[in-house]
Amino acid sequence: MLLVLKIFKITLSILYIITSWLYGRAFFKDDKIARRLKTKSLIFTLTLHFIYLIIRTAELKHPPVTSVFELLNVLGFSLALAYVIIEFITKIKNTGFFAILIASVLVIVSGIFSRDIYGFEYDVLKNELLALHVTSALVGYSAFALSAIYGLLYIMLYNKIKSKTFDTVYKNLPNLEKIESMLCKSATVGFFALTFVITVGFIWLPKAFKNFSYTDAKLIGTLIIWLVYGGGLGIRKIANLSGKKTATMTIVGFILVFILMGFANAMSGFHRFY
Amino acid sequence: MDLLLVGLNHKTASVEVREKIYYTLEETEKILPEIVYLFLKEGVLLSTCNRTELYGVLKSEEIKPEQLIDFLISKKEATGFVDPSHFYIMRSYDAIRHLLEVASGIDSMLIGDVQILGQVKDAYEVAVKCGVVGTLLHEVFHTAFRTGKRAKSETSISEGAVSVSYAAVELAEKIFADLSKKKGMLIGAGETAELTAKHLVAHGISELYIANRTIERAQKLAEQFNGKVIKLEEIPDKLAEVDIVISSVTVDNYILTFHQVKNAISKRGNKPILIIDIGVPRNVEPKIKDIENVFLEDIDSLESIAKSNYERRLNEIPKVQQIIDEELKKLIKWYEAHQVAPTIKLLRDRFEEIRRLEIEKYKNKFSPEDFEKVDALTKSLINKLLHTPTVNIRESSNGKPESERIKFIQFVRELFGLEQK
Repeated sequence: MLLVLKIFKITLSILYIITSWLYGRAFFKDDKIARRLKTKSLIFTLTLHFIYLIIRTAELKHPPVTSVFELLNVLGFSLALAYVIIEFITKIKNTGFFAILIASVLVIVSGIFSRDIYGFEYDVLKNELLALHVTSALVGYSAFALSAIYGLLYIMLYNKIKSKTFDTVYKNLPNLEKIESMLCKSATVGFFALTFVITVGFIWLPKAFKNFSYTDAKLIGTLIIWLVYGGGLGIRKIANLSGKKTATMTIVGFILVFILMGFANAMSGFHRFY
Repeated sequence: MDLLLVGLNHKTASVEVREKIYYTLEETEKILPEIVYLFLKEGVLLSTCNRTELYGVLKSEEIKPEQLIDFLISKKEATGFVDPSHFYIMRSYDAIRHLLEVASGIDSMLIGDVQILGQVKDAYEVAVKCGVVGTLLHEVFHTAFRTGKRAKSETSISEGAVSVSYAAVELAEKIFADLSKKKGMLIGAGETAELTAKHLVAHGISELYIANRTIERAQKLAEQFNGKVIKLEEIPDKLAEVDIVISSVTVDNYILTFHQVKNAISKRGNKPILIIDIGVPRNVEPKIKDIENVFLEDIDSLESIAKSNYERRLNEIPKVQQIIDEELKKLIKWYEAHQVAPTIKLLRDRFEEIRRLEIEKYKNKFSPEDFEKVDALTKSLINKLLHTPTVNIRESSNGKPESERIKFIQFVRELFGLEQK
């Protein structure tokens, strides 16, 4: 069975690369075949990924949330899923390249480094509150990633119009107002999800870990991110910020998430309580 | 195939010539039955500002295409203005290919023109109304409609604005999500500016302010676009309210300065504003393009959008040609299937297949010698049964107009269930 899981990992990595390539061809080269196949390829990849997650959980007797690399895999999945839902809702079909590229990197990194270990390494992870805590963290960070991607697209289109470069990328992007609305919605969803993460975390962590400490790097990092996004959303409302500044804020916010989470993981692995 | 096309278009005749021989739909309705009565078995006359083309099947071999050309010219009293040398004559599959190119927009003056397919449909409907469309033209024109539709949906041949005024609207739609929630301001009344305003109104812009030096002209435009007249001095105040500004006045000083726009953008909460300056000399201080969330575009950028869209359309032509090839192949297949010889062969094959399947069932009930006799007997039976229908199909088709023959063959195919094969 471990061999099956390995084959799944390799296949998924290849499928994510193919899907990113298709989205890239459609976006940069306006390739008709890529345009037709990309969403189908993504849905197929996501379906296979979902089956993989189910089989893996059933076989290894634990959900894929017990190590950072397992989480990266689920994060890649949820990012791609969030994107495909947005694609269906907004009918904007050309902007997936960046989201799928990030999802691919996450899935590939997780594929290389995650280990397939039977059962729970830590009994403390057998908890319903943990499931809520981790799921909302995944939703939150996927939403922040999407928000930053739309921020990037906003700045790309903004610069294209300002510099009068009316090329294929210009043609394939939705309008600025729509991109801005999507990046704001994503950031708001991310903020509320993170609020939930922190609330559940504060209830669960002291109960679960005897040596729980408020100085845990990930805990502090998450709080900082929450404050920054909360502050950003507030300032935007109060100071009437719109357009390029909002887009820049989402990118800066996500870079901060990356740095803080990277730093926290380097400092304490998962949470440092065990 | 007996199909004939005589016509002229923007490639063979100037606009002065084309307008002399342009037939409105009403005129077409009057003249087409007469043309068909005199020269054709069936016909469709397609006349637009860029082309006048007559598709039809000649009544007899004695009639020459030149007679049709002379008739089209003389009916419009255009002798002297329009010369037969302006016309082209095409036959059979060349004529069909040409029609498919017309319907898909690649023969238009503006490649990818979306209006032409509608005009082809109108021309066909007028011909149907006159009762001069037979089976052949019916099939040919429906192939053309399908080709036009496919070209539009499967390629980007008609995507993107290719005129300057539409390019301005396209640009506005690249910045704003919903034009019906946006306000515009038209300063001055140049031709392009007016056209742009017209397109913006057509795209549902919620309100349009019009400022012009002569109030009468502004009022006239306001009536036309359902807009509101403002004085030139009111422009800075209204600037904070509007999302799109089109300026086209002849002034010595800038009509919009850096400070005015800077103030306006801060008043409107930094929301993006699109300013299109098509005035010569320029109406808007160029350095306002450095203000964040201000998009200043001029005639050059609009032309560049239109040009790049047009180039994109030109790149789509091979894809459209491929669709034309596919549709033409289908039409040829349909046409050939409605010829006499293939139909007779199909009919005989069908009967032979039934015979073979039936005797196969009883193969084990006969000795090999008896089976050979039954096989020969049934073959002869089928041959005798089919002899009269075969002769009749051949004779009934002889000398019949193409459309009638196709209709008859179609009937035979339906009668014997040959279509499903």
